[in-house]
Parts: sequence; C-alpha cells; structure tokens
Amino acid sequence: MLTAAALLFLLGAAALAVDGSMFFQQARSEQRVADLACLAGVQELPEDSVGAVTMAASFLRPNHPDLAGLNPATTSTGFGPVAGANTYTTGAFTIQIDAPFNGNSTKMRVSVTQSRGTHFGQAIGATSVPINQVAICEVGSAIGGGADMPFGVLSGFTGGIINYDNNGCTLNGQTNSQCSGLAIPRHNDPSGSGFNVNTADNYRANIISGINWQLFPPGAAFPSSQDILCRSQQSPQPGDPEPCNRVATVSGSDPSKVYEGLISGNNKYPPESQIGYLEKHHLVYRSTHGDLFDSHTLEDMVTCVASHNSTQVVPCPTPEDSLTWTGPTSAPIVYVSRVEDCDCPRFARVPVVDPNPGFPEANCTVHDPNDITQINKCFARIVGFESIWLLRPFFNDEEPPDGPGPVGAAENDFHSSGQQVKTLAAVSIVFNDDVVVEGRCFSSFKQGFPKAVRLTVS
Amino acid sequence: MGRRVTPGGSKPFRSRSDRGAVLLEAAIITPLFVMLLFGIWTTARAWNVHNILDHAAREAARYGAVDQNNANIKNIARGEVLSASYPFDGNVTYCSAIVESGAVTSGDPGGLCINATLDPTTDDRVQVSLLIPSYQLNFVFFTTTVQLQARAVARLEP
Repeated sequence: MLTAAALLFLLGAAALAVDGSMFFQQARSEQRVADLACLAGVQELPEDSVGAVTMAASFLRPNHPDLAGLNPATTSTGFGPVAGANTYTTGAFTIQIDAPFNGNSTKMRVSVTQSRGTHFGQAIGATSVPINQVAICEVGSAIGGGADMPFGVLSGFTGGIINYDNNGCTLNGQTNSQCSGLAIPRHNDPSGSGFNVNTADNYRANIISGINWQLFPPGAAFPSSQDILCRSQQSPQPGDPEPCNRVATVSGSDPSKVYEGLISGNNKYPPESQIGYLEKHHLVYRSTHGDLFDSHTLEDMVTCVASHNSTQVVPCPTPEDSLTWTGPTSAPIVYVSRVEDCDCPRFARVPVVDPNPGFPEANCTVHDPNDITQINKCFARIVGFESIWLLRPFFNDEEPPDGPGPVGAAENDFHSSGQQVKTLAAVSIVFNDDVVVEGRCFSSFKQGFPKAVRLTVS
Repeated sequence: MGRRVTPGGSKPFRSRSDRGAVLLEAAIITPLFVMLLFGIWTTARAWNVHNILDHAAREAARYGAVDQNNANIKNIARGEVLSASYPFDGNVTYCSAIVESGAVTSGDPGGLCINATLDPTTDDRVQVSLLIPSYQLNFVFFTTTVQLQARAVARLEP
C-alpha cells in the first residue's frame, strides 16, 4: 500500500520534473521562433504589412522542425496573408501574426501556441498543455532617434523647409535667386523685438516648420539683431570677439562659391571644440566626441554607374570635384541609383541631382527613390552637392544635441540674448554657385534610412 | 501484510517470513525508485541542456543578424553555452553561416546550418546550429543517448 502511494507520488514528481522541464524548453523554443520571425517580418514595415506577415511566416519554418508544413503564402483561411490579423495552423501549432499591430504601422506581433502532449503527466490526467509565447517588435530609424537624412535633393516635394525651383530657392517664403547660402535657425524673434525662447512654446515647432529659419545669401552680412558675429574667414580663430555664435561666409573672389559656416553652441568653448564645424569644402565635421560625421562617402548611399541603366560602376564624384564644374553641362555624366543599405550618419553630403536627365522612364519624379521597391529604377544625374547637417531640434528637457560637454551640460546650449535653447539645426547649402539646380526639394527620406528593429515584449 | 499483536501486550512483531517479504520487496522496489529518481534528474537535465543550446543559438543568430560577421557568431554561441553552466561544450558541434542571395557568403557551407527544405529561399539571413550528437542519459543501471540540436535562423538586419 505504501509502495503504491509512493509510486503515485513519484509519478507525480516525475510528471512535474520531466514534463515541466520539457514545457520550459518548449516555451523557450517557441519564444525563439516568435522573436526571430517577428524581427524578420518587422523589417518590411511600415511600407508593406502583407510582406511583413509573409516574411515572418517564412522565418517560422526554419526555426522549428515541427513547423515544416507551414506555408507562408497560405493562412488558415486558405488565402494569402492580409494586412492585420493572420492565423496559420500546422500540426499542434497555431500562429497568429498581426501586422500592423494595435494600429501601429511600425509594430507587429507574432504569437506561437502549441498544444503539447505530456509523458508522465498522463498518469495524473494531464494529456496536453497549451504553451503560448508572444513577441512584439517594432521598426525604427537606426540613426539618432529618428533624425532625417535625405538621399538627395530631388523634385516632387514642396513642403520642406527649403524648396528649390527654377527661380531659385525659397526658405519659408524668403527667396534667394542664387539659390545658395546658409540657412540657420533664427534665434531672434523675426519681428526684432526679442524672443524669449524659454517661454515660447512654439519655438521648436517653428524651427521644424521652417518659420524660425533664415536664409543668408552669398556674401550677406548678418544682421546685428541676430547676435552673431560674422567673418569672412573659413573658420573661427582663437581670440575672436565674443560672443561668438559664428556663421561665416565666403563670397566674391572665391571661385568655388562655397559657403562656409559655423554654428557653435555658445561662446565659451574654444574653436577646436565646436560642435558643428563646416570647413571649407566640407571635409570635416567633427565634435569633441571624436566622431568624424563626414566619414561616409557618396558610395555609401548610391551606386554610380557610367550611363543610364548601365551596370558599369564608376567612382562617384566628390564634392571637391563639383568645385571645378562651371555649370550643369560640365558636370560629369555620372548616374546614380540608390542602394538599399546606407550607413549614413546624420551629417552627410548629399548629391543634388537632376531628376530628369533625359530619360523619362528613369525620371525620379516617376520612380520614387524613396520607395524601396523601386531601388535601382531611379537614375539621376549629379549636378551638385549639398552638405547637410541636420539635427532634430531639441528643446529644454528633451535630449540635447551632440555637444562638446557632457550630456545636458550648459555648454551644449545655444545661447541667444541671454536665453538658452537646447536646439541646433542647420542646413548648409554648399553646391557650386554656378551649377543650376533643378531639383526642388529638401525633404526627409525616412525610408532611406537604415532600419533598426527591436523586440518590445517577449 | 498483517501486523501481529502479542496476546498479552501491545508490542508488534513480524514473523521471519514477513521480514523476508519486506526485504524482498525493498530489494525490488529500491532499484526502481533509484532508477526513476535518476531518470527524472537526467531527463530534466537533458531538457535543460537543450534549453541552453536553444538560447545560445538564438543569441548567436541575433548577434549575427546585426553584426553580420560570421567570425564572431560561434564565439557568441560558445560563450552563451559556457555561461549557462554547461561546461562540456566540447561535446557541442557549432555551425554558423551567413546566407546572402541564396548562397553562403561566409561560414560553414553546409551540414548543420543549412536545411534546403525549411530555409527561406532568398532572404539574407544568418543560420546557427548547435548539436550534441550523443547526449548521455544515465539511468544508473543502464545508459542511453539522445541527440540534442538547436537551430536558429535570423534575417539579416539592414
């Protein structure tokens, strides 16, 4: 009697130990399947929800031998996957894939459920146990929390801060017929009556919308009301007068008509620790963090080919090359097509491209270079370069921009009229003055960013 | 088995035959109990080791999907195995491969990593497989072996 009772107890213990450890192992295995499928599929978001589901399903199969019978192209409805909720069933498995998830176009969810049979558990009446694991993941920009970086200056967008057209360029209504210059965020009230940036809640929004920007044409003198000392020098020098939020321009005899600028955080730190330093020819962007933001090349973003639809890869021209060009016809006949992967930093030189180089079928206004499904279909001729230094404006308690000091330190602040704003955003337009720019758009190409994916719940 | 009571008192006693039966019963049951106990331990440990392999494969694949350097993937997997208290990693066969455009561009070209039936056909991915071909289950009076394998396939990140 005692033995029988002990045997029952022992079988129960065996059920707990053996079946329990098996369940834990299966749960771990299912979590791996769900995680890897989710991370594979979410890379298709936000552009292609159906593709995200299919991709996730195709990564279910190789990650679990019992899912070999799953067909990614057919859900339990007998039809293909759809945007939204999808259910796959195979064997003891039920898989639910939601993309987008919960109304969020950048998120998806993969739920893996298995009805797992027991071994010893049957002795105590438990024949199977459902094991469910869920992965939720999202896609975002790999760069600096959503900073924007254009692939190039193209036509088709008119809502940017700076717009190009054949009459020149405009910045929030300000027109400069030469279509070049340096645009900086205005840090004084446009009315000239002073601007208390600490109390103006719309300051940051206005920078984003372009209201608090000012375009300085070549050779322009900066108004004293801007509280910026301007110099016709390439870079700030020790001993420069204070305050020294500098923007320097070069014009006149310089044939390159390259406009140089410096926007520093405040007047406290020496030139070698400027947070943003646009040097002649824009070779160096640096910070005291030691980053060379300009370390990428044009080839990182595009493939240059010898002619339209050619597969012959040629070296891409450099911004320095563009300095020798005297006009659009002197620009080399080099065509670019976008590459899928771009390890682009926030600081970059981007090409100004002719969106319609005479090949209608390759017209970038037809083939959206921002559409990853149309990669290599858009060819455009480089006619100049832009140097982009785009930091998302930050304000007060928000994340400060890269600066010479510790994160959040006062020296990272942008001083103006005794006030402080943790905001810096600048666009430096540095293409050759004589180059006609037909593109009309400065805009964000978020989809051109390298993506980063992460699990949010697992 | 009944208990006998002495006519004049309460002290129980067992007959010689009863004691022999108990001894015989214990001799039969005890090994079974011991075998069952060891079986519980060794089986649970096998699942645990399988779990370790699973976790290591997953971590290595995830690392490889981001790092995209095959040279590091096996080290990551091995590190995970060792850190998870499975010191006998010499028994583990590691395999990793990066597959791009349907072909192995780095890593082990075949074997454990590749499963032509299950693998996606075109998507760029990293494949990791960990195998213990003969994991020994010890039931005291006999032993047997099982194969433990964990496989993880992760899509390369852009």
